[in-house]
Amino acid sequence: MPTTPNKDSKPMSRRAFLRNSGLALGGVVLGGAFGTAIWKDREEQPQEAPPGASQTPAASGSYQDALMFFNQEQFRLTEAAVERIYPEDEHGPGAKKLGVAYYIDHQLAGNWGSNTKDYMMGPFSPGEATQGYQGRLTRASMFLIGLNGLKDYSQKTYGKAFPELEEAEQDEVLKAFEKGDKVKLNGTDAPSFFKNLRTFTLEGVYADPMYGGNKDMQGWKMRNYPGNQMSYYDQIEKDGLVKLEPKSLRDHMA
Amino acid sequence: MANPLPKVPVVIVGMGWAGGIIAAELAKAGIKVVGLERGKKRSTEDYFMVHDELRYAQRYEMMQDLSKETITFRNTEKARALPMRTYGSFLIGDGLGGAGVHWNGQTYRFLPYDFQIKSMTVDRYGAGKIPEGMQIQDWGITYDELEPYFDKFEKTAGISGEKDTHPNAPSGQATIRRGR
Ligand SMILES: Cc1cc2nc3c(=O)[nH]c(=O)nc-3n(C[C@H](O)[C@H](O)[C@H](O)COP(=O)(O)OP(=O)(O)OC[C@H]3O[C@@H](n4cnc5c(N)ncnc54)[C@H](O)[C@@H]3O)c2cc1C
Repeated sequence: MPTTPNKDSKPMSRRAFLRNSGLALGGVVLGGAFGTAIWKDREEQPQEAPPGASQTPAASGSYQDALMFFNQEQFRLTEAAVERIYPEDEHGPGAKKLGVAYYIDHQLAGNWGSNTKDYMMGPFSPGEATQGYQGRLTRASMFLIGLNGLKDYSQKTYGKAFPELEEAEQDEVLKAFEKGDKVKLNGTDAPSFFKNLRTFTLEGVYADPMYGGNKDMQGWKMRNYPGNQMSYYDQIEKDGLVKLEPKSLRDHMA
Repeated sequence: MANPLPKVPVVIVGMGWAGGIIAAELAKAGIKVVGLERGKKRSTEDYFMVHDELRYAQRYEMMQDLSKETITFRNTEKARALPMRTYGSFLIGDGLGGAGVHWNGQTYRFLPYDFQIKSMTVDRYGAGKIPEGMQIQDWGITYDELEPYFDKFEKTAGISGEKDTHPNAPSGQATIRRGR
C-alpha cells in the first residue's frame, strides 16, 4: 500500500499511517495479517463517543506534570512540535494530551539526558560514520540547540514563534529540519535533532505512563496494546483476537 | 592493601555462560573453584519491572555502564581507534550471567555442514568451487563429536523446539543445508 502523504487535502490520519507502515511496537512489528485484523476490527466498530472528549482529562491531575528541565518557552515549543509528529485526530489524543512534552522534559533531566552511562571523557576525535557518536555534548544540550534552531528558523522564515504558526507551516519547519539542507545548527545537525525528537515522541506515546507520557495508557488503548501483562497463560490457547484491558507497571506493585 | 584469601586450585574471571559452565563442571568433578564477577548479582527479585521496555530495551539497563569502562574500536586499519561512547551496534553485558542474561535465547544447533564446510563443499562441487585466497576451513571437530554436548546444553538450559526441524531429522530445510 502506498503511504504518500496527502499534500493538498486532509493529511493522512495517524491511524492510516500506522496501518500502512506496520509500526514496530514493543519489539514486534505489527503488520501483515495481524495488524490488519486489528484495524479492521476497530474501524468497523462505530465509535460511540467523540474521541478524546469522553476520556479522562489527559494532561491534568497528575503531579508529574511539572518541569524538571525545560523553561516554559522550551516546553511549549516541544509540545507544539511533538503534536505535529503525533497529532490528535478522530481516533484519539495526540502527543500533547498524552503528556509527551513532560516525558521529554523528565528524560532530559535524568540519566539519559546527561549521558551518565555513556563514555563522555576525552580525548575527542571525529570518527568514521561506523564509530557512532563521538561528540562531547550531552543529549540534553543537543536538544536545546535543536529547540533554539526551531525557534530561530520559525522567526526568520515566518516572523512568528513556532507554537503560533499554522499547522501547515509547522510541518514545513519540521520537514526542513528533517531534510537539513536549509538549517544549520551549531554543535549538532538538524536531521539528528528531528530524529531524536521523533524517537522521543514515540517513546512518550508508548512508554509506560510511569515516565510521564502515555497518559492513562491512552497511547496503548488506541492500539489495543495490552501494556505489560504478567502472563498470557489464560489467553494463549484462545482463538482469535483477545481484547485485554492494558496493565501498567504500577499494576505489578501489589 | 591486598587481602589474601584462601588458595583454591581454580579461579575463573567472568561468570557468563562460559565461566559458569566451566565452574559447574569443575565443581561437579570435586575441584574447588572461585568465580570472580565484576558486575552485579541478580535474582528473580531484580526482574519485577522487567516488562519496562523503555528501561530494558531502549535504555540498556542490563548492559555495561560505559562511563566506567568501554572498548575502543576501528573498522579499518587506517582509521583511528575510538571509544564506543554510546550503545549502537553491539551490546556488552555484565553482572552475574553475563550476556546470557540479556540475550535473545535462540539456541539453534550448528549443522554438520557448518563444521565441515570445506570438505563437504569440495566433496560435492570439486576443489575448483573454492576460489583462490578463500580461507574457509573445517573446524577440526565434527557435528557427531559435538552432538552429546549440544544435547547436554539444551537440557541444562531447558531448550525446546519442534522435533521435525531438528537438523538430524530427514526433512525440508535442514536436509538441503546439510549438502545431502
Ligand atoms: C543482545 C544479545 C543477544 C544475543 N542473542 C543470542 C542468541 O539468541 N543465541 C545465542 O546463542 N547467542 C546470543 N548472543 C551471544 C551470547 O549471549 C554470548 O555469546 C554468550 O552469552 C557469551 O558468554 P561468555 O560467557 O563467553 O561471555 P559473557 O557472557 O560476556 O561473560 C563474561 C563475563 O565476564 C565478566 N568480566 C569481564 N571482565 C571481567 C573482569 N576483569 N573481572 C571480573 N569479571 C569480568 C563480565 O561482567 C561478564 O559477566 C547474544 C548476545 C547479545 C549481546
